[in-house]
Amino acid sequence: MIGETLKRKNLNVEIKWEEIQLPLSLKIEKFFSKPIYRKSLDSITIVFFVLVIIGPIINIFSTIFLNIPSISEDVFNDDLIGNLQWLNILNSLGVSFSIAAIAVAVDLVIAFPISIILTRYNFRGKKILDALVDLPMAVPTSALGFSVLLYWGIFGVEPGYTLIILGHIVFTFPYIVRNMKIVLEKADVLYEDAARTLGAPGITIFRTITLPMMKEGVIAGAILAFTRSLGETGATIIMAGLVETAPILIVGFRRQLELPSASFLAGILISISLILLFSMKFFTRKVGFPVKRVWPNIERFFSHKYFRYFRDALMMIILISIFLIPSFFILSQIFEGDLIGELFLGQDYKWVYLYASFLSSIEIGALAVAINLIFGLPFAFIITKRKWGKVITFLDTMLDIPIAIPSAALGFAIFLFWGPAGLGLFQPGFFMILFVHVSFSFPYMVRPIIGVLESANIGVEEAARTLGASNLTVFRKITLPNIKQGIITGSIMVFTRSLGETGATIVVMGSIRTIPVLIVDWVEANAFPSAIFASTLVILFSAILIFALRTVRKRKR
Amino acid sequence: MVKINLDNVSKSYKKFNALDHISLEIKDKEYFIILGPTGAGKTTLLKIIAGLIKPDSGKVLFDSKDVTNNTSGERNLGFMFENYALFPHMNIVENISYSGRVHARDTRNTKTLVDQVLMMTLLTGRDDAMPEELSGGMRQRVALCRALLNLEQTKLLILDEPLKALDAGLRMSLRRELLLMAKSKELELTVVHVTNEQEEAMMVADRIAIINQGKVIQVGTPNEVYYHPKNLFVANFMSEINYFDGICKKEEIPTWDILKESKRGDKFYAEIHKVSIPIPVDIGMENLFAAYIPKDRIGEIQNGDKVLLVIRSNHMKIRLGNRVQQKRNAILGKIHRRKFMGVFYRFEVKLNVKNQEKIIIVTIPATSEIHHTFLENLEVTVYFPKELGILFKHPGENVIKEVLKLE
Amino acid sequence: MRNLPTIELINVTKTFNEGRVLAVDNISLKIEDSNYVFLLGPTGCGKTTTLRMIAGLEKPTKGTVVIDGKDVEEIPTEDRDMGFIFQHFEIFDHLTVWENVTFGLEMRGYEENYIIEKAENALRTVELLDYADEFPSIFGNPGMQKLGIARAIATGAKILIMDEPLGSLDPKVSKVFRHELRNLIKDLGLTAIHVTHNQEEAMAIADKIIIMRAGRILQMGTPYELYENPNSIFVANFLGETNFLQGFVLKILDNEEMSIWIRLGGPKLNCNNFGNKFNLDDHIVISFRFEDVYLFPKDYEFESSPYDWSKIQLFNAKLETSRFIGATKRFYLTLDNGDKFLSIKPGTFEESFTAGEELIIGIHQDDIHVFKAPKNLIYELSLS
Repeated sequence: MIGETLKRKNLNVEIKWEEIQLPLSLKIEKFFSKPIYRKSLDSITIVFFVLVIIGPIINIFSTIFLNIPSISEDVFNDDLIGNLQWLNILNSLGVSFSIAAIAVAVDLVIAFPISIILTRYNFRGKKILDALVDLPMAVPTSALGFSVLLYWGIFGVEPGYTLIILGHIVFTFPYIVRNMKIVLEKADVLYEDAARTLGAPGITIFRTITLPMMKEGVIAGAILAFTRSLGETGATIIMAGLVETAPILIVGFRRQLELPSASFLAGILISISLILLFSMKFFTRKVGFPVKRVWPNIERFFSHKYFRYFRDALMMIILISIFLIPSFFILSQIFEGDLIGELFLGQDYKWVYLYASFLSSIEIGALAVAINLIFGLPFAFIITKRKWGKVITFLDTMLDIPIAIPSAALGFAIFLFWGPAGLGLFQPGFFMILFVHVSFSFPYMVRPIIGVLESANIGVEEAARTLGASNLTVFRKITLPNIKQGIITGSIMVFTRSLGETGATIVVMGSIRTIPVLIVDWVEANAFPSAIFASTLVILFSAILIFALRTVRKRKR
Repeated sequence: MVKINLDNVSKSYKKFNALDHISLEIKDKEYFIILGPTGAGKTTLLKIIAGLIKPDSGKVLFDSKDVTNNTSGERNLGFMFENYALFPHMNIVENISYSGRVHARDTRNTKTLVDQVLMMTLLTGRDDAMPEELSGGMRQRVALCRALLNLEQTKLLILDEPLKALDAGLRMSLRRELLLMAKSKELELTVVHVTNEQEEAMMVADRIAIINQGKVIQVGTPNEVYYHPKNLFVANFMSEINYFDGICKKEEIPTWDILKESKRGDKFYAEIHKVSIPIPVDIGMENLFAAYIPKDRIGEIQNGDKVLLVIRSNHMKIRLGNRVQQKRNAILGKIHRRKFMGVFYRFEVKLNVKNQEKIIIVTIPATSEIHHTFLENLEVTVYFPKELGILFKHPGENVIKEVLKLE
Repeated sequence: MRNLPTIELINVTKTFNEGRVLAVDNISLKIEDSNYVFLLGPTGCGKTTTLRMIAGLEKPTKGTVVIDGKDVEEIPTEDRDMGFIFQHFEIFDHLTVWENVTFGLEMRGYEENYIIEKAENALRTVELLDYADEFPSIFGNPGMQKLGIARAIATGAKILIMDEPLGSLDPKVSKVFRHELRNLIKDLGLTAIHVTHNQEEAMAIADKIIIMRAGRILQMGTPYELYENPNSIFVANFLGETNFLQGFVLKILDNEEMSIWIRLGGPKLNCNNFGNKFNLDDHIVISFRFEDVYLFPKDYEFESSPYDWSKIQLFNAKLETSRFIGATKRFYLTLDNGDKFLSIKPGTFEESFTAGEELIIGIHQDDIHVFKAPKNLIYELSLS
């Protein structure tokens, strides 16, 4: 009977197709929906990507290759110090790798139960705990490192190797938990339920069902954390004392303008990171977890709920005492020392510096977001929509490079490529900082957009096309509103990453200071109250950003 | 041996009442169907029986023993999930033998069992296939095997929409296989099977529980729920229906009660209703009819009560022409649309009631005679056997709307 | 009768993954005289790909799609002026109900009054006008699909394309909905192409059915034609419920008739052999519909009935069990040689037989279809 109404109602308005004028916006969109325009945009985007991401890296290898004589002279056969430089490099690499390995191992042990607690349990305060665990990712590492330094100082831990490990544990932890949480949320509880009905005890279920499904997230998180630890500079400088990690050494070389040594070390770091990245891409699928064997009685025994309570309680205590309190300890120190006297009344106008560097940080962050948005959006479209086969796989892998390689090394590579030693287009300073920040934060913009694009429903776009919308109209009216969350997430990630970066900035900064660099400088100059104040400021600022990010995500559901 | 009792079981999520004081008894070796629309709480109920969800209140008893606080593993039952939940990272044999391994059962024993099961289910030689390589039908078999191999003393199999993911054609043949398997001498299972398909339920069930909005509406054999539905919801859920509202009127004919009728309860119901009240039983007036229903189908309905008469479309009969002596259980109309559906022909017969249109649905077995003679726009008489009329106390317009709306 | 649009596919082939997957294999078809056409076939038979090529969402690898006499290869989806209804609705959930329905109208640049009138009509048609200002998330699946229909018909497109439009609905709901859908399309005089794997749905509402399997068209025709005269074992099996028995040609009786044995000592039956398709000793498969199997008690007096029994094939079988499923009753029967078959009767069928009883089975000769036994009967009988 439906349809009768429609028939009965006589339509007075008759429309002739020839007379219809499309509104201007639709007309323009229809015009620019032609394949030629799409192709030009694709080309521009890829040129940008190659110049900004791939170019400097290729360049650094060619530089090393072309400068073999001067490198061997500087590093291995120096007139004064012989191969001391090489020994330094080896030593720093050893330090960096052992620190990264230990930090990741400790993180992994704690991250498993914590990520399960955060995804599978329901309790009061879960959201707050979740936010607190995420927060250190957004806080500049130099502020975090400073906080850790102050906290462990109470227990008499001096700057040095141990303190670096304790610090790296703190700021790499969120990367691991986050990746685990993502896969756990995706993994269907159904399979765990199925195993329960088949009589499997908790530990067996975790080991044989949950763990294999988490595999990719665990490996991705571990490698990400590992490379982040490997490349971290700001916090490490603060916590290092006399210990030299690889990025600190690069910064040192750069400061003393020992460019051959710096490029040699940067090249080594980049190679190792790339090897790690590719082996992750390549081997993740092939790595097996021990799922075949089952030790029913032991596992049943240890699956008892008292063991579970004990384990969860223990992990929470560790989480709080090693991660959460050290991260935010600095907030309790704000009233220690003579802040006003040092910051505002001192001879050296510290507050002016603070104000200026805060402004530069925000300017650079905002511009990095804008540039990454302009090129990141089309790039995400290329990765998800174009059917170029192997080319897409290649671009997709390349996209992870800036995340994987130590930012100090990347900064140095860009300095070499664009700076006076290379193309000579930029001098160290504002634009070069911006350039570096755009480069290392590019994937942080693109990945979330790819994420939403992949999970976005292609069906609605097809529906819009069948209703007569041209490709660009579909993009504006249907796709864009659906991927808004990804864009906002990406923007905030880029902004916080830019805000927090130290190593890469130091390498290319010239006379400008960003906030994290300022904190490092002040700590080194023993201006603790001012450093504490600056750290508190950025932690609060980051907290607000993270809070905004979570509200956006929540609205999505 | 396993008998299941649910005693006053309730479960709610936030403010949503998934299950509302459910009490059920499932007998030993019974094939028990839980039937209801999407969102009725069926799967929650299954998961409570299986121990995957804890009820907010109430008890679950297996053989009169309280198992409410036992884990799923301790209840030892076979559970087949809606999309089978085959572990994607294990091959068929690893999937099937999973419960054997976690229970440390004798491996040799498990091996032979698995081999037997594979043979039984026509999967021999595909041992190392991964679940994603299998067709829907094969996955279903593997999931069934995995569930069956978990059973020890408790022979309880729980099936959550076991056929939903399959093509329509395959579904038909697998229904019977499930029933034969459950009833086979070697297994003699108690089966709890959830579905939203009426036909599937009728096909396999010993008894059916119809649930809606977290409540059990009716429990009974397929015959009972089909011929003696407890309310309009059940009547409508079991097949396509026609319904009329009217007033129950006792007539002087001994052992008979009379229903006097008006029109399908659309918006124009009230007007028609007014007209119909004063009309005597043996009317000669157009478009109205009297339904004579045997006393034993009338139940508690009193003289003068507002009633709702429901007749299933396949209980309606149709003949050409409009020659009827008495308008008892017979209505005149015109074939508005007809459609050949294979086994059946489906007619939409249009009645003319005071300028308002009313459609009656009639489905009758297809024959070539019908194909050639019952054409659209012909005058017909639609009638129904008196014992197939289903009479309810009138539940009110809102309830009718609620039940019949497409949600 | 108004002019219906014509849709024609000429030698269309579609492959995926650089030719490794053949989805549609050189099919040709023409839709012109019916308004409700079904593409029916098991999962993966190429029906959805065919539909998407008509809509322009996929490009044919080879062949042409012609709509109203025009080759549409260069015309993108947005300019083909069709309504598309999706299995998963694909409602724009960031727009209100009203904005969803007016979307297509605005894309065409109509003036405001016209848009309002058309959108109101479409929403009224599916009884959703009261919800115009809500967001679609308030709807369940049936409401979403109603909105999907309103959105597709609002533009005034003459061709409606539907990909499993009832596939996401509860069985009960879809059974009611399908008749409403058919009535709507009839009332609006649209040409609709509907894809499904559900044969019951196709039989219930189609004017014309095109049966596809493995990328090819097996048979097309009205439901009645296909049901009464299937051209292959697969079609006979896929459309409706059918018994299959194997046997051999025993004797050619005359030009039109032959006698066959059901294998392993089963009964001897007479079948039609129009055009002498079969020879002596041919291995054959016969099919007959469940509902064409008549049941008589052992002591039935055939002589006393006025009916013409000459063309009815009678033989004995044992009743294993019977099952009442509402509209029908199913009888599971076994021949002496162990072959099993089924009979269905209306649910109101009154004769009550007991399990294990010997019955006399009657099948009208015209209801028996004979096919040459294929090499792989299991494949022909599988429903995928």
